[in-house]
Amino acid sequence: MPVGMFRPAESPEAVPEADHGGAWRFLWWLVRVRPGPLVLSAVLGALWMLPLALLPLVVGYAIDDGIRDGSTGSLLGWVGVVGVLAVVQAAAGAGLIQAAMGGQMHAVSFGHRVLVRQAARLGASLRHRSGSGDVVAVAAGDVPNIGHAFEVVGRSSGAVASFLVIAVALTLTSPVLGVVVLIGVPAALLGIGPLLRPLQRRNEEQRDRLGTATAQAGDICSGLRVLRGIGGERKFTDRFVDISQQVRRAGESAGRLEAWIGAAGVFLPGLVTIGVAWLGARLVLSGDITPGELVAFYGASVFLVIPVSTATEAVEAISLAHVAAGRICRFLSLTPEPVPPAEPLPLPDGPLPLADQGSGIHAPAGCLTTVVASGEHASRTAARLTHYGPFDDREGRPRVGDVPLDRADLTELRRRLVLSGHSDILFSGPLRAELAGERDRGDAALLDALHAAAATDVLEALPQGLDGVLVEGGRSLSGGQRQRLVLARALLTDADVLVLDDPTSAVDASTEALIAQRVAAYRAERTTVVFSGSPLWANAADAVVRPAPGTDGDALLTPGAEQPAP
Amino acid sequence: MTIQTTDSTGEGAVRTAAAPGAPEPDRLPLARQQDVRRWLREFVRRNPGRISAMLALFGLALVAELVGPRLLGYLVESVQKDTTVHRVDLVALAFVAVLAAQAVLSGFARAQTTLLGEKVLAETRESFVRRVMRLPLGTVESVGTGDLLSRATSDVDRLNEGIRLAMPRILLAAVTLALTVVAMLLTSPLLSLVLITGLPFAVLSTRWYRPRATSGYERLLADEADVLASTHETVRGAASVEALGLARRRTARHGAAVGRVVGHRRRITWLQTVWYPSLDLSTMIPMALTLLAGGAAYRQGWAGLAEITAMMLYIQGLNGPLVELLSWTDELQVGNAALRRILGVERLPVERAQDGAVPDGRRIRLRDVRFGYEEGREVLHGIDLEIAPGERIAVVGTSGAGKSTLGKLLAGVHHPTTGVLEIGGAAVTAMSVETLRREVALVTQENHVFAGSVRGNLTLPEKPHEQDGGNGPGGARGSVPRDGSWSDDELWAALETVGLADWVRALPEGLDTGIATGNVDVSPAVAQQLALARLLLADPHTLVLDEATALMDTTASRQVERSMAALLEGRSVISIVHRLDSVQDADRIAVMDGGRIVEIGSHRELLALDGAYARLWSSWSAAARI
Repeated sequence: MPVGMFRPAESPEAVPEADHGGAWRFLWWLVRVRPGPLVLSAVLGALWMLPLALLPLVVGYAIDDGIRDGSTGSLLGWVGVVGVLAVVQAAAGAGLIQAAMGGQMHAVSFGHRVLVRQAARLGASLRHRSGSGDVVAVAAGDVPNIGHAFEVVGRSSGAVASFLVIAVALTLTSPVLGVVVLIGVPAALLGIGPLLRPLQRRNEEQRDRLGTATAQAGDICSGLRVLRGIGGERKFTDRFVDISQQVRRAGESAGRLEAWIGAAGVFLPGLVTIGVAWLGARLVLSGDITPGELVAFYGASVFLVIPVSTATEAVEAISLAHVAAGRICRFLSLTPEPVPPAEPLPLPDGPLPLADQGSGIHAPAGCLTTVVASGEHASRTAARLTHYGPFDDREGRPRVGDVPLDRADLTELRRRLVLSGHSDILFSGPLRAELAGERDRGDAALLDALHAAAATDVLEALPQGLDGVLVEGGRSLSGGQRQRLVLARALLTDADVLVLDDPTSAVDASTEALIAQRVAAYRAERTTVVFSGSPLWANAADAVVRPAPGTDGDALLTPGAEQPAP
Repeated sequence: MTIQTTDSTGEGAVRTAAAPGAPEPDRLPLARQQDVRRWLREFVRRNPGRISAMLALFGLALVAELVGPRLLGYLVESVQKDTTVHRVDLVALAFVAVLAAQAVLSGFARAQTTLLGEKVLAETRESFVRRVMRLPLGTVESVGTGDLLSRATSDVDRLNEGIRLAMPRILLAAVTLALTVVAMLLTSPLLSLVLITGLPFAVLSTRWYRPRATSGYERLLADEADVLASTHETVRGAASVEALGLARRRTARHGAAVGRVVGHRRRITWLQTVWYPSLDLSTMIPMALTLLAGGAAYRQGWAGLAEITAMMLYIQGLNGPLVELLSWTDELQVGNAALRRILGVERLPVERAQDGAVPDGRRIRLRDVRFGYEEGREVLHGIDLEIAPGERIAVVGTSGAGKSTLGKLLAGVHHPTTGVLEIGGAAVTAMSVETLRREVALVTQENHVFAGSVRGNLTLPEKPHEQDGGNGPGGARGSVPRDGSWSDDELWAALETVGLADWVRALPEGLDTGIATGNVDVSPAVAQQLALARLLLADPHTLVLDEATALMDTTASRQVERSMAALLEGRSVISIVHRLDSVQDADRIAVMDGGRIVEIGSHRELLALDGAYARLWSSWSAAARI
């Protein structure tokens, strides 16, 4: 039974769509997709706690029956009962751990997976929406919180069950004391309740501050080079210390409240215990119950602190999970841009021409067209040509194979019309797979593309060649090598239309000339548009688009500037 | 948080840093266990008052807690001897008083613990950041941002958890256990012997479990760091993921990392599946035996009912703290593993501390400068170069010739292995970082917008002293606040110069608008202009531009070009370029090949030389002449 609690090899496709309509709905979705571990840990939680619950009663009977006036036989009998309870508890405990951790891992694993799936879906539109630090902070802080709640909830439902059993047993022995326990303990729990909301608020505040500190700390990793260049180390550290002290103060304020909630957690249930003992002692005096029963009641009310505090812990864990789920939902409810058209038009087969009235770029089918421009405006135009940026309504839509971009089927468009720019990064993984992406390409094809991008030297830099592993962001390679690998990867998509935004900015002139010629040959018969200020690309092109002289900024690429190459 | 990072400079540097034979370039070290112990001792030494106050409060709270069972034992015994209702009431009242004392004391104790814990955490976070700030750049570049990031974020979080939650509980449980055993010994030394039977379960299982769990947790944390790194990578490269249709591949790789976390957690859980039940048995078995022994002792008259009752209650009370103690130390293991990762950064060598040599003048002089990123692999082989104040030098050459490395040496990012590198007659190695940064700034095409306000982004550098270039030995004058902030007018002037003033004015809160937080979209060009404005404020007399203009919009955004011109005005400039667009404007051109300067002179002189530069130029201009 417990063997199946963990599922390390869940395939990404097996994760159903999350319900992100609200924090509770998201949590409920997590329960619904895999209720097994949670249900099992509730059952086992009860079985594990019951022996603990029954123990005071058994001890009480044993003192009355086994020690005070019983025979050796009945004493041994009671010892045996304690032994059996011990074994049951140990066995149930073992299963409970498996089930509870299984539930936790389910929540953690699904939490991470839906986040990254959403990030991959949002793609380029993510850049404008949410900083990478935010998503990483959710993955680092919020997902584990939800996991924790899953672990605690199973246990605490067991606690509730054991509470009920005890209550029944006590009521059968002495109705008066039973009622005192039954009402007193939950009342004590409720008494703590009002304190929890401010605690939640303070915890949230501390988490927010910690999030800021986390974002700052993350800044070091990506910005250290810049900081070093300008000597901003001291100021940056000072600011971090500032925020860190804010986190500290927020933590202290939450912690103080937590300490007093803890104290209330001792005091209120303790009052119930004393009430039971006091009432019990009087009942013994009046002969209503035996001294052994008094011990049982006392022990039971002491025991009940455990279920009560477990329940308290569960309430806290759930409230943190609720906050976390809210944050996840906010991220999950972002929608990718652009919105796919309602009635998509299919693209014609074969090589496609790309034309844009707005920027005056006309890239004939099957040709290499160089747009002599680089920099931000060029990047924006490249994004516009590939349907990444928003369109300005005055300008009309770029057309690919005579279909306006915003009417084309988006999946097909993304597959057949590919943009590669200098914001592209290399991902970590085996070089072979990182180049081929999701297509299955033979070594010959990979080497061809590397040759075209003049990137075969990368194979020498990586000890195992194509089987070598790229580290995150291709950091072990030089800037030029990275850029050429990014180009090779783009070439390998074999897109019908490939738009390259300044693909050789970090490459020296002689290599650039080589690349321009080879890419022209590699992309023969297919449409390629290269944005580059370098004359070397213009040289290799079938058609060249030049900015009209004297234009500046946004009016850069005007219609009619096209001219054929000599 | 990363908004725009376009890194494609720094060849050579990174390549050699990760060359085969280098000791595992992509993982930061872990602190050793003795480092952690030293850290703990150090902490205790520095906070003796708080720690003893906390322990005293916990101790008092526990004494109060232990009086409870004694009172009940007394009550049980006394009701058998026909006590009066009055006495019962009195005992109950005493009980309430004791409970109240216990609650108040434990509240104070926990509050103390929190204060202490928050203090440790803040110190740890801050010293981590300080340490990272002093790491050599080469080290930072060769390790994954993922690893560093997860140490700075999730490990600090985990330590937070460990300290805030585990520490008070462990203390409470440990003191409870100790005092309970003492109380048992005082109540009935004979029956206390039974406790020994529980020991094997607790001790053996813990000894079996602990070492296995420790290494398991370490691997788990490394796996979790992989998950975060993978998330970070996917989010950062989301545009590439969409453009190249890599979604399935990214989610599969991330999913595999998540799978490893689940797999490791499963192994740890199996360890716990053996361990926790053993702990339960370690109190349940003595309980059964106490009942047995108690029964026998009662018959022999060696033990009274009150003693047996109290003993049974004490043993029952042992289970909670025992499980609490050992399971929270388990949690503390996670904290410990996290702490080892955080403190691990301390094991990396930092840049050596410099004494405060102060340059006199701006002349830069290099004599036989040699440099290698690692022993035995020299990248620069004897560079001689002299740069006059205000001179503009272009450095050209093929990829891997050592251009960027030379730039980093000039900016003091790395120091020469041998040879002399002086600014204004003072060795760069002998200058403090603050002094050096006022002299030379390195500008790469990498732009980073820091989380914070526009003002925060602009005022990161140290404010230069009033004297030109900060060359005078006198420190800050009275008019310059020591925290080095610029007035709003100065900030606006700089923004105006780079042409960003309108952009900032349009922001909702002007200079104080938070950027890089997802609300304001900062384009690469704006990021570049912000960086230029920052340099204007920092006002170094020498700029090293490493391909700084490669990403600049040469044809369109004339504004950036104008800002650049404003920035270069009056400064010495060493400009490293791949393209020969504007090298003619330089006073001198240095041609590098294989880690040496092979030619140096003006455009005209070098063409006349008909060497390496002439060849580069002809292939460039041939292409450019279409």
